Amino acid sequence: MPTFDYIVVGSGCSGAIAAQTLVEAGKRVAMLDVGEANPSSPSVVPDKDYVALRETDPEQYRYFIGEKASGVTINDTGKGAQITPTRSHMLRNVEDYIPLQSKTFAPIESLGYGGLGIGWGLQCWEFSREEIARVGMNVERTIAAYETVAKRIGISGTNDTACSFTLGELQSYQPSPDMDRNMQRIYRSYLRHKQSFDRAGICLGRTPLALLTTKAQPGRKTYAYRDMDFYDDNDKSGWRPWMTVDTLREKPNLTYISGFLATRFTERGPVATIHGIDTATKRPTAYRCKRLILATGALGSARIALRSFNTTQGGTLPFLCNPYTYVPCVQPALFGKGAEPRKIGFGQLSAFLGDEAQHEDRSILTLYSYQSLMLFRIIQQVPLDFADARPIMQYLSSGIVIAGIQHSDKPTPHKTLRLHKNIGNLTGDELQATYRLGNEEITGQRQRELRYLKGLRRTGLYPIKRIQTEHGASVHYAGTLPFSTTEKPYHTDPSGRLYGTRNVYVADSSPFRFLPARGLTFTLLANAHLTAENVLKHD
Amino acid sequence: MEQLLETEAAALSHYLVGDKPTKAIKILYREAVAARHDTRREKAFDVAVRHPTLLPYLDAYDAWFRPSSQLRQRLHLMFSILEATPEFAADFLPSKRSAWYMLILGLLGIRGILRLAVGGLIVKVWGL
Repeated sequence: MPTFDYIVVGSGCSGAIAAQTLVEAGKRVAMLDVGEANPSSPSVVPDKDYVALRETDPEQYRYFIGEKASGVTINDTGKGAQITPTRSHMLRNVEDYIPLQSKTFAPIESLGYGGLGIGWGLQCWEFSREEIARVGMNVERTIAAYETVAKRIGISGTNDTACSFTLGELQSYQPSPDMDRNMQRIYRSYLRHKQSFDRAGICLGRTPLALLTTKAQPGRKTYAYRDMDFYDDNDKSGWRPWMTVDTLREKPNLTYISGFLATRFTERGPVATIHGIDTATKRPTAYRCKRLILATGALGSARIALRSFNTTQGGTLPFLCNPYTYVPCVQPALFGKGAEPRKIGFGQLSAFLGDEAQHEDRSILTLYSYQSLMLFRIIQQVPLDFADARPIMQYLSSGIVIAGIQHSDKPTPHKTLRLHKNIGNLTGDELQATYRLGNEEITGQRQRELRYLKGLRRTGLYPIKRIQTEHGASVHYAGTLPFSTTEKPYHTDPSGRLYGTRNVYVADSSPFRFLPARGLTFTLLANAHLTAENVLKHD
Repeated sequence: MEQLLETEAAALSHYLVGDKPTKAIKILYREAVAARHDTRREKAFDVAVRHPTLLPYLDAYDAWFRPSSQLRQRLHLMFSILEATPEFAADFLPSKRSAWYMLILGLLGIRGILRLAVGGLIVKVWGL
């Protein structure tokens, strides 16, 4: 059986950063991964802006709608609706290899090379000190880890009136990208009516992104405003985990092994063994190591822990997920303004309810310009015949903005995971999830959404309707193996070590005891770095 | 079957953008339909393709009452293919228009509602 000093399972955000910390410390590391590869690598998208591609490229259907229009689905506003054909490999084989059954929860998981980071929206929020403490992490070390990670991946942000909400205490950042026409207008209007917004308790600022804007990195260029953010990573200006893994694979002390689906671990003395399935042969296989680091996502690590402990510790786990509502809005002042070649698909502005700073239940709103996701994704929402709906939407489209509202989440008895036997599946089991919000949670979320939408109207942005995605369909899962200072089954100690093991660590969001409204990815990266540091300390 | 799909593509394209599809668009449409393994033929869709003058009315009716009908699915498919084609980019990309264009759009909206009413009648009378 192959043996390594350190094994990191997973190549997503947390796996990439944990492996980087170990490799840079000179350790011999193996990364095990299913690693579904991108068939469009190298990129099939020419290096032109969105408008130029639409007007000139006869092969554009390959990346805009996919071969045989595989990216076109009818009446689908749910799970993965924003995942384009060139990123669809992130979902390949998920239903077969890691099935999840639920009537109330529809998460997106990935077995792709780079994990969910393949389609990540690049938002990089620093949690507040209170939030870091509630999550269960060490505040000072996490603040320092944010800096380390920011220097590695490159973050853009703005020291504006909202920076205490957006950048927190972060020092290492580049300027935010220029705002496009829609956002400039909203932001100008916000500044004009700032006193009124202050009275309403709403604060608006630039969204921090893992995006190089003014200073390139080796192999990565600065952002080119092509509005092709949903389709390609040609200039590598936005950080994705596979970029870090690609770099690490060039180093002699990292061995990358793909085609491995991790199922469970065992320990004997100081040696940990990770068992799994070779996805090519469908046969069992295993690797040994001194330290095992799970970075397969909160649901993936839950599966592995449940299989590994099931006989001794029973098996119902809690979990968390940010509830999400998106709201298509229109900006009438920008109707009929023509296409904008220099545009951005990522979130550009985010709003906060400042008077909630001390509340545990919070929400944030992020604004996205709508252009490159094309009319075919929204045309079905118009209750008119297609021939009349087309010119109407064509006229309105320059004024369409999408507002995404994300809510915090905390554990309740109605958010649980169990592993059930199912011999028809490759792993012989499936995860079953229940996710229900309490009335109080629903009411609080609705009230905050309405406050935001009322505020948006003051900027000349008018909400059309609120669309609540299925729970889990858009973002972020956590809390399956929570941090605890006392030893308990299915809990993680403050260093990231799973209780009941000697050498098994969890570097993803599984230990987070609370999920703030601000997206967790930046904290996930900081936690992965800290966990890897803790592993090194234990040596 | 190939001929049938080409006729279908021509009818849908003409309805959506007022123009014939190119050979490449017909091939894309054919391949996309084949990949969906949708061999059924709903009566309303069949009638709409055989009598393209009825397309706007049946489409308007389905937009309200049968959003997942075969007609809506095929129209949406052709809409997506046309949108991802340089020849028709100008029909889909945002274009500069004066505020007066809103009036025309208002009229289009009213026409859409009238089409819905006529579509309802057609569906009832023809039993579609």
